[in-house]
Formats: sequence, C-alpha cells, structure tokens
Amino acid sequence: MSSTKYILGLFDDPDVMMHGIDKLQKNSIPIYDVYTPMPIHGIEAKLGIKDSRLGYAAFLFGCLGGTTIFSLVYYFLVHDWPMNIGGKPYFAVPDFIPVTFEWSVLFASFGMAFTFFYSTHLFPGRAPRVMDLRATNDRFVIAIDAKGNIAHDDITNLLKEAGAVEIKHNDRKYVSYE
Amino acid sequence: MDSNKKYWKGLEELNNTPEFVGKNKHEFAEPIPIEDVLSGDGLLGKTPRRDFLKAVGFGVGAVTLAACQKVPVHKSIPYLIKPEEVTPGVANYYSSTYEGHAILVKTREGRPIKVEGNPNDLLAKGGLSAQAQASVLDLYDVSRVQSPLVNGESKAWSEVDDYVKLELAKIKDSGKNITIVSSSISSPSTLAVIADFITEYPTAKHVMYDAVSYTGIIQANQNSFGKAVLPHYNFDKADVIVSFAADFLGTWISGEEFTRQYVSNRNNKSLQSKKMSRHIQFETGMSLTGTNADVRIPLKPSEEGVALINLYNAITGTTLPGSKKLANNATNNAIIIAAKELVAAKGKALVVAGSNDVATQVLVNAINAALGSYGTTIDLDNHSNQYKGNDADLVEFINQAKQGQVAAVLFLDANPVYDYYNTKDLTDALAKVPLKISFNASLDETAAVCTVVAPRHHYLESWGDDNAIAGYYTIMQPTINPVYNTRQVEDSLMMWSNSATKNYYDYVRANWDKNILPLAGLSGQKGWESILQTGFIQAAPAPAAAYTFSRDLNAVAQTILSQSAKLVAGDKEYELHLYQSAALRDGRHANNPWLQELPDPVSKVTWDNFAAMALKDLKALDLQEGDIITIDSNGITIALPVLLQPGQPEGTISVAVGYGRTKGGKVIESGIGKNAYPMHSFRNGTVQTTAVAKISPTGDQIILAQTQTHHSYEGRNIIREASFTEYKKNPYVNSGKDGEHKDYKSLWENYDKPTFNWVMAIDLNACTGCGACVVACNAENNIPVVGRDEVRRRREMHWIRIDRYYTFNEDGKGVTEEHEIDKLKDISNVSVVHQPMLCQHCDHAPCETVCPVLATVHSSEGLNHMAYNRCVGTRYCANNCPYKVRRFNWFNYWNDSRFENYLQEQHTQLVLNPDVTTRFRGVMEKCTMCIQRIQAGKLQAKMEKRSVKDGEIQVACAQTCSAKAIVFGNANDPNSEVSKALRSERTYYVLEELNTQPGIGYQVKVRNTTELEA
Amino acid sequence: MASHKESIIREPLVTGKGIDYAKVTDDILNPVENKPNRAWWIGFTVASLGALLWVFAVSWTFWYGIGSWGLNKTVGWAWDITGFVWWVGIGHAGTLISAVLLLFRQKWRNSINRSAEAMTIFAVICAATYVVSHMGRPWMALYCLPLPNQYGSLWVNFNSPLIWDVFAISTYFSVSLVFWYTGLLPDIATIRDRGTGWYRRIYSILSFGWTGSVKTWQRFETVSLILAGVSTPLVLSVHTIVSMDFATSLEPGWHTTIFPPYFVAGAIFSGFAMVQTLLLVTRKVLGLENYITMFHIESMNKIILVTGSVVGVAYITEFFIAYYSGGEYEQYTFLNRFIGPYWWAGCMMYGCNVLMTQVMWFKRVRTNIAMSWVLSIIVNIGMWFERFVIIVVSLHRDYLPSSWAMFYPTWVDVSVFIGSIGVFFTLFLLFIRVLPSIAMAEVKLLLKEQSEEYKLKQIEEGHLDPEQVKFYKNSLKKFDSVDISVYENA
Repeated sequence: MSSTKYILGLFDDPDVMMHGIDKLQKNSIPIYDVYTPMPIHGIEAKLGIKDSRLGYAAFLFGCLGGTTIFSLVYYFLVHDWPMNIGGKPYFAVPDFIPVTFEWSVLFASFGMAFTFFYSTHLFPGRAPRVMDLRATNDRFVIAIDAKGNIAHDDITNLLKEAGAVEIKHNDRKYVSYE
Repeated sequence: MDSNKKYWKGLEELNNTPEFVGKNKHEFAEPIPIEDVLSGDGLLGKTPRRDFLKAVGFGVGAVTLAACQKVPVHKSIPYLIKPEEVTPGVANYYSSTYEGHAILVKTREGRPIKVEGNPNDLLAKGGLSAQAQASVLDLYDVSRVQSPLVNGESKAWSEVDDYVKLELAKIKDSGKNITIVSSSISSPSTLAVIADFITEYPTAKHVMYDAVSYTGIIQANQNSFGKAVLPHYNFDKADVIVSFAADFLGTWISGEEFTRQYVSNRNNKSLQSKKMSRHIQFETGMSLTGTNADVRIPLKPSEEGVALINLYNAITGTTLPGSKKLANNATNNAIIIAAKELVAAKGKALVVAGSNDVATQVLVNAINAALGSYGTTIDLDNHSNQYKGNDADLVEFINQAKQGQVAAVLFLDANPVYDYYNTKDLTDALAKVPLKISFNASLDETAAVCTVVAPRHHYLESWGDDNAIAGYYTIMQPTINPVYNTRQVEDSLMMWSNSATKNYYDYVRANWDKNILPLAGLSGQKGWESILQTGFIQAAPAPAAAYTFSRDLNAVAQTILSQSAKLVAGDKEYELHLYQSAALRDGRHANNPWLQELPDPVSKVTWDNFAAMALKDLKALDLQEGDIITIDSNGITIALPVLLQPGQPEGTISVAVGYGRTKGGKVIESGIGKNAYPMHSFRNGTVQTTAVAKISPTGDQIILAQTQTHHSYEGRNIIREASFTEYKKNPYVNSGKDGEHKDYKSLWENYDKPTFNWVMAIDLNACTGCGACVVACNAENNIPVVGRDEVRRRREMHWIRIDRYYTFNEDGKGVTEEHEIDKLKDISNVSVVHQPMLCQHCDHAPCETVCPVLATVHSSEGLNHMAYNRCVGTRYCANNCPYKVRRFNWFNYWNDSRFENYLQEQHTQLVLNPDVTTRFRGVMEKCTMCIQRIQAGKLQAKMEKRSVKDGEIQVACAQTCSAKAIVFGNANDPNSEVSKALRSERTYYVLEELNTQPGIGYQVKVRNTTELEA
Repeated sequence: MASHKESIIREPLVTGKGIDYAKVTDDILNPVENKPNRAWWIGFTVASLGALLWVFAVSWTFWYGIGSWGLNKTVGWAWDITGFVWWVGIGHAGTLISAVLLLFRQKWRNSINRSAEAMTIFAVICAATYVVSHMGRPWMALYCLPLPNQYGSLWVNFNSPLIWDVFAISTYFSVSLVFWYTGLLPDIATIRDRGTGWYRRIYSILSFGWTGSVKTWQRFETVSLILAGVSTPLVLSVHTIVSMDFATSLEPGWHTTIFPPYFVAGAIFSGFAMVQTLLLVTRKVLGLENYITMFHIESMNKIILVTGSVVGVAYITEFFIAYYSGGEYEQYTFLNRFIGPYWWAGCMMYGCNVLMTQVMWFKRVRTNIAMSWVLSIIVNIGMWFERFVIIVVSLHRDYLPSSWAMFYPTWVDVSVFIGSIGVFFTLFLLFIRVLPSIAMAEVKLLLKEQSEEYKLKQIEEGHLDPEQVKFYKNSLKKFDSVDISVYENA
C-alpha cells in the first residue's frame, strides 16, 4: 500500500472518463495527468490548462523569415552586385514577393513546430514516459499521485463508481521498457 | 663566384684511365642486360614465385608512392629567344591571295587561324566566300598526304626526285609525250615554271580543264571576236540584268566580286538616290542568284536556247530561222518584257548565260553586242584569268593516252577520275600511262591511281602569286612552316627540270622584279617589301573597247535548236540539270566539315545532295520529300532523296555536283551524297550540264538534314517587303514607321550606355543569303560541327543563320500562310527573301530575366553577355528567346569518343581561336557580337591613347560579307556607319512589338517589280 | 461530455460492426505489424523495377549529356518539365486534404489525409528529381542556391521564376514533411507501445517520446491548426509559382495571366485523381473498406468533377482571350493545338480533362469503384498531356517560322518518366508497410458520432424523424461496406 506511487483509472470511453474526472474533482482529489489515445475536447478546461501561445511564436517566426530573405535579396541584387538583368531595375520589388512569402511560411511552420517539440519535450530518442501501454491504443487513463493523504481505497472506489474498467496501483511512476 | 676547384670521382678519373673513359660514355657503369631480357627467351623464361612476389610488391609500392604525389604541374615554357614578330596573345596579319582575291591571314603564335579579305581587294573589297573562310581548316586537315609516296609507300623527297628524274629522262629520250593536267592556273610564276619545265622536256604539254567548265564562253569569244578569253563583267554598270541560268552571285566565275558589283546598285546608298537595278532570271533549278532576282522565270533546259533566240529576235527585230514561241505564255511575255527593258537600257544592259554550249554563248555575245554591252558592262580587254580550261584538250589527251603516246602525266589541282564525265574512258587511258604523278594535297580519287604522289603545300604554306584579272596581281606568302612533309608544286617542277633557280621563292621574287613590279613603278627590295604588305599590284587597266558582232547566226540558231530538241524529255522522262552547290562548289572542298554543315542557301539541306523536283511531279509520282529515287542518265544510275523545290519547272530535276566523293579524307569517306559528274555529256566541243533522265522510286526514304523545315513566314511582319515603285512613292513603305510610328513605352527607366552601344544594321536588300558569314562565324568563334544526324535532330550550333522564306505569288498577291499554300495549284511562281538571324542583343532581353543563376546579363555597352562557367543549362533562356538564336551544347562536342565532330583531330584543333573558349557540354551559347574583337579594338585604342574609330572593330560576319549587308558599330556615335544605316526609312526591328528592344535593325526588302509581273 | 449530436441524415464516416477503439488500432496496424501479402510483393517488385529503370536512364543522361533526350534548338523543354509540373500538381492533393479540409472542419478527411500527405511528399520528391536531372550541368546544381562562390560572390537571380521554384518547392516539401510527421507522432507511439524488442526501440526513437498527455494533445491540435493555416496559402503559392515559369515568359501559349488559378485548379484536380487511384487499391488490398468508405470516394469524385470543370472554364477563357486579344502569335498557337501536327495531344488534353470528367455528374458513376478508378487514371493522363501541350506544342511553333521544329522523345525521355512513376510507387508501398496509412487517432475521434454503428444504435433507440431515417437508409445503399439487410427490420 505504502509502496504505491500512482493510481491509474483506465476507462474505455472518453465520456465516462470525463465523468470520472468530475467525480474526482468533486472529491477534491488532485489529478496528476490524463493520457488518451486521441485528443479529448474540453478536457483542458477541466484540468485548467492555459491556451497554447504557439500562435504568437508562429507569427513572430514568420515575420523573421520574411524580413530575412527580403533584406538578403536587397543585399544581393541592389547593394552587393547590382546588375542589368533584362533591363529591369535593380530593386524589382514585385519579383521578390514570391521568395519573401515562401520564407515567411517556412520560418513560421518550422519555428512553431520546433517550439512545440521543445516545450513538450519531444525529440528523437526521448525515453517515453508512459504510465500505461494501452493509453495510446484504446484506454483513457486518469493518473492520480498516490502521495496524498486520501485513502487509496476511496480513490479506487470513486474510480470504480465512475465506471473505470480497470484500476492499477503502480509502484513505479513509468512503465519501464525492459 | 664559381670556384675553379676540380672534384674527381676517383683516381681513375684523375689519371683518366682508358676503362674509365670507356665506362664514362655509358649511363651505367655496368652494362644492363635489358636486351637479353626483352629479346625472345628472356620473356619466355619462367618467373619463380618469389621473383613474382618481389615484382608485385615493388610494383604496388611504387604505384602507391607515385599516387601519393599530387598531380604534376605542367609549366608552359615561354620563348627562350622570342621571334621579334611574334608576341604571344597578339595576332599578326599577313597579306596573301586566295583564288585571285587579295586576302589577310590572321596568325596567332605562328599559326594561321582565320582568313579575311583584304579591304583593298579589287574583286570583293574585303569580302570573301565561305570556301575561302573555310580554307584555313584544310591546312590542318589530318587526311592530307603527309609525305611523298611512290607506289603507295612514303619515301624521302630525294628518293622521289631521283626516281622521277630518272623516269622523265627515259621518256625524254623515248620522245613520248608528257602531259601536265591541271585546273585553270592564273599564277604567272607557276605558268612560267611550267613553261620552263616544257622547255626542259620538249614533249611536255600543259592541259588545263575545269571540273565545271567555262569553255563555252571562251570558245564563243574566240569565235565571235577572236579572243579566247573569259571577259570581265561589270554588273555594277548594268541597270538591267538578264541571266539565263548563270548563278553569278554564287558559283559563276567570280561570285564574290559580282555580288559586290550587283549589290552596289541595290543597297541602301543606291536606293537613297532612287536608283535600283533590275534583274530578271531565267533558270531551271532555284539558284542563289534566282532567289535574289526581281523576277524569276522557271525555264526548262530544253527551252533555254529557244528563249534566247526569241530574246534576240525581240531585241533586234529580226527573226532567226526556226524561231518558235514557247509553250508557256508567261515565259513568252517575260521574254518580251525583258527585251523591252534591255533595249531601253542600251549600254547599261547585260545578258549572261550559264550554259557551257558554244553556240548558245555566241548567241549571247550577239545579244550583248546588239545591246552595246561591250566596253561598258562587259570588258574583253581586261579579261579574267579565273578560268581558262578547254574541255577538248583533256579529251585529246585521253585519246593520245589510249593510243599509248603519253608516257607521263602530272596532275596539278586536278581530280579527273572524280569529276571527268567519262570515268571509264579516263581510267582505261590512265592504265596505259606508265608514270602518273599527282601533286594533289590529299589522296583523292586521282592521286590514288598515281604511281607518285608529291603532295603540294597548302596555299597558306606557299610562296606564289595570282593574276585573276588582267593587270591585277596578288602575292601569296607562307604564314606557317609546312604542317606536314610536303613541297611546293613549283619546287618539285623546278627540281625535276633542273632549273637554275633552286627554290621557288627566288623564282617568284625574280619574276616579280622583272615583269610585275615595274607595272606599278616599283622595284628592288623596297618595292618587294611594299607589295608583301599591300598584297597586290594593280596596273592601269587597258581601255575597254566596244565590240561589234558580225557573224552569221543562222547556223548558230540551227545548232541551238537541234541541241534543245535532243533535251526534250519524252514520256516518263525528265530534263536533268546539273549545278554546283553554293557550299561545296565543284567538290574540291568536300572534306571540309564547315562547308558540309553550311546549309544550302536555297534548300537549307546540309551533308547531302538531292534531286530537286517540282510539286506537281512529286504528286504525279506520289513521292514525299526524302523518298529516294534512282536517276538514270547517260548510262549511269544514282540514287538520291527528292526535295520539293518551289520554283522548279515541271518535268525537270536539278542535282548538285561536288558530292559523292569516294577518296581523299575522313569526312569524304563517311559517304556524303552521290556523284553526278558522270551524267554530264560531251556535246559539240564542250562538256554540257544538261541531259535527259529517267527516274524510278525505290521505296526507301531518308530524312534530309535541313536546318529549316518551315519555309514561309505565315504573313508575320518579321519580314517586311515593298516594291521599288512603292518605295519611290514613300520610302517608309511597310517599314512600320509609315505615318505614326508606334513608340513602345517601357515600364521602367532604360539603363544608359555611357561610351558604347554596339548594334548592327542588316539590309535585307543587300543580303544575298550566300552564307559566307556563317562559316566566318564558325572560324572566329570555335563553333563545333555536329554532323548530319545532329542536324537532323535540329541541333546545329551556328550562331548566325540565314532564314530563307518563300512567298508564293498568286494573281498579284503573295501567299505565305501554310493552309493557303496547301490550296495553291501552282507554286512555281515564288519569290524569296533571306534574313540573317543572330542574337539580337535585346535591351529588354527575355533570356536574362529568366536565367536562375545570372549566367546571362546585360553589359553597359548594350551587349547580352553569356558566362559559360556559370551556366547550369536549364535551357529556360533558349525557350524564352523569341528569335530562337540560343544554342545548347547537347554533348561534349570537343571530346566525346562516341560523338564525332570532325574538329577533335590533333591538328584540326590548331585552327581554334585562342581568344574564344570552347564550350563544355551542358552550357548555352550564342552570338557574342565577337566580343573578343571588341575588347581587342578597345585595348588597341587605349594603348594608342585615342578613342575607338568607327569601322576599326569589325565582327566576323560583317567583315566577310561581299555585299556589306551587315553593318556593325557604335550607335552612340551619330556619324558611325551603323547609325547612318539605322536612320534609313526602311529600318525596322524584328518582333519590335514585343518591346524586347533589339540591338539589330533590319531594312525592308525592296523588289524592282512592275505591275506587269507582280 | 459528448459533443453535439450529429443529424442522422449525415452519412457515416466509419462503417462496419463492432468497431471500437481497439478494433480501429488492430485494423489499421494490421499491415504494419504483419508480413506483407502477395499482392504487396507483386506491386513492390514491379515498382522497384521501375525505380531501377529510373536510376539507369538518369545515369545515362548524366553520363552522355542532355543530348540523349529528344530536345532540340527550338524545344528546350519537353518530357522533363512536363513530368516536373505533373508531379508537383499531384503533390497538391495531400496538403489540400490535410490543410484546407481541416480548416473547413471536413471530418471525412481524417481517414484519408495520412496517405494523401505521404503521396504529396513522394510526388514532390519525384518532381525534385526532374529539377536536377533536366540541367545541362547537374553537378553545378548548387549554383541555384544563393551561396557565396568564387565569382566573388555572384548571387542568384531573384527575378527568375526558376529561383522562385527552388524556394517554393523546397519550402513546400519541408513544410509538408513537418506537418506529416507531427501528425504521425501519436500513431507511431501506438505502434511503439504495442511492439516489442528492436521493433519497439526503433519506433520509440521515431515517436519522440510521445505519451498522449492532455497538454501535448492540446498543443498538438494548435500546431495542426496553425500548420494547416499556413499550408493553405503555401499550397496555393506553389503551383502559382510553377505556373509563373510559363506565365512570366514571352512565349505565346505560355504568357497567360490566368495561369496561376488555372494551374492550382489543375493541381487539385490531378492530385485528387491520384489519391483516388491509390486509395481505391489500398482499401481493397489492406482491407480498409470500413474506414475509406463509399462516402469518401464519392466526395473525392465530386471534387474532381468541380475542379475539372474549373479547368474546363480556364481552357475556354484561354481560347477566348487568344481570339479577343487579336495577337496573331497567340491566335496561331491556340489554333495550332487542334490543326497543328500535335492535334492529337490537344485532343487528349481537352478530351480527358474536360469531357471525360463530366460523366461524374451521374451518381451511378461517382459511386462505382471500377469507373472511379478508370476515370482517375484518365484524369492523370489528361493532365500529363495538358502540360505537354502547354510546353511542347507552344514551343515547337513560336515566333519565327524558320525555327519551327518537331519534338521526338528518345527511349531515355520515356524511361526517366516511367522510372519516376516506379520511384513514386516504391516509396508509397514502403510507406504503407512501416507506417499507419490512416491516421488512427483522428479516426478514433469519429467513432462516437460519425460511425455507422452509433447511428444504427440511435435508430434502434427510435424517437428519430422517420423521414430522416428513411433518407439515411437510402443513402447507405451505395456503400459496399454496409450490410443493408440489418436496416430492414430496424
């Protein structure tokens, strides 16, 4: 009992799981995290997760990309080595729009994607911190930190009532890959 | 501070013992048994395993070590003692002569790389033919005979001389004949040498004959005026020119000279003064001259005589016996009109005929006499020496030889085995001649049957002189040491005739001192040196007298009519007409790839000859262009592809001679065309170029290698024409500037061109389409030859091309659009326009904008640059070029084992212009306006601390143009020739409505047509 | 907290009995976790032979030079750029489906976007190979990038549409790749957690350590949405820029201002056709009829019909403008497409793209698998000819008749093209073996409201408007994956 680190409630239906969350929160049991095989809408509100700010990142990166390429082109064709190309002016702005656009998009998407990976600690080879293997398949897992003063049985019962198909008392935080 | 100490290797050296001295001679102290090892059993001896391993070990080690070292640096070694006249990087020009033209030979580091006309040349004033331009390549031709041969094996000259002298001596004693067979020789010194030879060997005889003969004219003049010469024609003095199948702008006698004369009455200058000559051409095959005529009347060979008789009648008002009208009324009318105009222009008229028939030429003489042409347009007193051949002489030689009277024959610039009409006759005759000597440069058909081949120098290696027109003497001087082990013909002859003078240089020098220099009041060393610089002497011409014709013409008319009757083709027969192609001429240039790839000015076919036929005949026989037919005439049968030739009279075939060579070089032996010479026939005293032929389809087909396959300009205003009458009314007619001239606005400021603005003006009325510029450009810019197959794939590399468009005249209006042309019944009434097309150096160049890597950009001198090193070969620029003048290197033409471009040979590469890089596979190239010449000119001016003079920088194409149709120069200078030319009312720009702002202005083509024939 | 109930009349996006979350995973991962079947092997052998042909033909070209193709002084581009534009066009469907349909909240995209995006990436790879292989000096390809160089430094020409291409294609490729891969992470994690041994290890690395915690999902969705937001203009820009290769030039037949929208429509057109071609086969071979249903097929057919018609309108506009402009060169070029020596190519273009696709107005055609498949092939042929006509037929007779010429392909031209198709299929077949060809996580989203089973349950519960139920039942008839008999008694 004392060795239990985390209690996992495994549900097979998202709606039921949502009820489970309500139940737990009513009983003011702190939820450590929830793992689901697919995005559940509205859950972030329940768990009080702030809106992502990735949008701003994307915007700033976009601006950066645009300015970078445009100033580069200016340097190349107007400042560094101006040339008479088909009689057109050195600073032929309309001709520079396509590349400017492309790099804005490029920077925006890459900047944002990598910010996302960074902020959510995703990178190749990272040891997966998985609490239950079926959480990426067909189980909706509510994880509760067992180091509370609430009796584990109560939590178990709550989850049972809420309709959890299975309840696990884990001695280790993560499932280690042997 | 070198010491006088003497260090010796040992006592032996000190005492200098004999064995030391002996050993010292050898590289190694002990003799190394290398011979034993290499000789027979040394190699057969079994190698023990250990030795083998040692060897391998060493080998591997050595190779590894060798590989460790980095690539050796090849240092180029400068002249130790620099010849004072040679400065690396600076070209030297030497004056010399080619076919009577005074020329300048450009040499770099001692090797000739380009031939250019001498601006003061009497004949063409700096213009040169494609053949002359290409001649420099023959100098380096690897298939020249590289050393003298006796019975096929190469010998030293001394051996050859001993052998020949011995033989000649024997013959001299036996009293048998020696014959020198040559093409026309106009070099006074050579003739003198031959004369000496004849005095040494009294039984010797000199026979001159020409593959394409002018005997007809010469005999006719003998017959009419007692002068067996080729007259000197003055087309510049003629206001009305009527030509019967004489291609005088191309292959006839002196094309370049006549072009200059002819154009002087039709170019911008002449038009400005409201003057333009009138030119009517009657001919069978469409010739270069025919394409330039104001009126061209298709005429069968059999009709020519009759037509001339009618013309004579119409001019003189008499009626020769047997005169009859021609079947075709248009032709009859044309003859009447022509007669009227000729008479109107009495004294300023000229009638010429290409026929080699004496009777015909006598009649022409009569006509010219009646028109008072002698003394004005025809000059018998300062005659031409360009052709002197007499067909009968050769025939006589052959008969003698057959009877075994000839013991020795020497061939000099003559290839009768190829170009004599009766090959069998000739070979039988030669079989009976024990000593046959050829001086020909290559092992051609004739040299191959000769016992002795004493290869001559190329003219760029020779001393010599020439005398094309009476009183006009040009000097020839060597510009390079002999490339191969060859010798001047004259040296050989002098050697064999035990001449007192031992080398030809002294001979020429003496001959000039004695006979020629005085004509110009020159003498001595100074005189000699001055002509070596000027290159020619022009003695005061004799006054040209008028000649009256006083012979009875009835007999002449009879012969003409009976001749013509023989030519009338029966059922399933066609009248065959043989002509020289503008590129290969009589075939002596057949081994020159530049000329083989030069498109025929009319058909645009390269690398082949063909049978030109009329549309109706093709339809009747259900033939397509490229189908192969057999032509059967004079007992000979050859198979040729047919070509649909607009303007070809029905029932006739035209075939070019000069093809189908079998021996004499790599290019020739690749098998190009068929030999049509055997179809000539020998009729009353001369070789005639017309015959009757049977043809039959073979069912085979090939694709002719044409550089242009669409022949009309679809009514697009890229070509702008006007009639002379219209022009006189309004000089701006059809130039687009008429009334309100469209001024195309730009979206942006134009860049300014501070000092220079290099542009060109091309006068469509002056350009005859001869193609000399194309070859000049090849030579100047190292343009690769791609060969027949690549031309078929439409990949020729020429930077300048000449577009040729047909306009079909249907009741008074020109038809140029494909779908309308298909409907025409008769396409024989056709007029032609030639348009030189090259990079237009647009100020708003479409190619520049689209190049991703900035490999092509614009210069501040208005040039469109091309940076080969930067080009990655996307070909976008070529696609976006409205003029399609950009050329892509599809292969590595300069080094591709699988791919032969005829310029890869060890020696042929010496002809390359070191100022122009050869382009690698995968890059784009195009006309640079000879930027290397522009730079050189600017540099010259800079060194002389002056500004560039107008005309001192000449681009290759403009330089060689006898018609001076191309003018190049600086548009920033309002007084430059080009600025003047561009100010002409006729100036227009091709596709100017695209606002590409081209740098090349064209001038409207003007035709001197009257409503009558229009 | 079930989201809003979907009206019954909407057709189901997932069909079949007993489809729960586990079933979805099992079905979709079936090909990834098991040995390939015979059909796959046959396909793969053929495809990889094609790829080998490509390697050979391209090596030949590099060794001997572009001269081994049929091009000439007049026609500087032919099969190379035709193939390039064709592939780029095909590439567009993927991004379009995943981005635009996401913005429009088209849920049916969930089960096709994955393979469509994969297709995009492979198509763009094929296109890119042409960019390099058509160069005269491919070993100098780096000159096309603005890198410092020995010419001190000579940069690239930003006025040239080819440079715009370089930027557009590379951006498009890399952004699609990121979009695709981000979407893959949850599914890769699933494979990881079901796998064992080295198999698990590899996928573990590929999964970036995905766990599916709430925060990750929330940000994941944001990222998808924004990527969709930027990809949409991107996908439009790419073919716009490709079209500018022609539109900004001077050639009659190229210099056409409506090219950008016209090319984009054409791209979507051919792209969807290619998706159709692939998925119709895939769903059979991999037994995914329940996820890629008749509804998907018909929806794509509708898009093909619409874009096809848009292209048709563009064609008409071109002709009208050619007539109306009065430009003689322009007019000749367009007449030449029908009366010129390449009339047959013109007929293929207009016939396949406009006439043939009009039959899709008939529901029977739209919902017939065989016909849809044939039509999708025809469309791709038609679109190839469209590019051929625009490029070759315009070039071969332009301004100066003296340069008019014909283009005849060599075996190398043909092999490079056939080969590129081989490369494409090789990549695609490998893809469906190692990665889930359907986005599992996204399909799982559909199970609650959009699955047939769920809707059936509702019907059995009753209290639905019988009219609507009847309508729904009818709509089910066309489904080949629905056992209609169930509904008789319901």
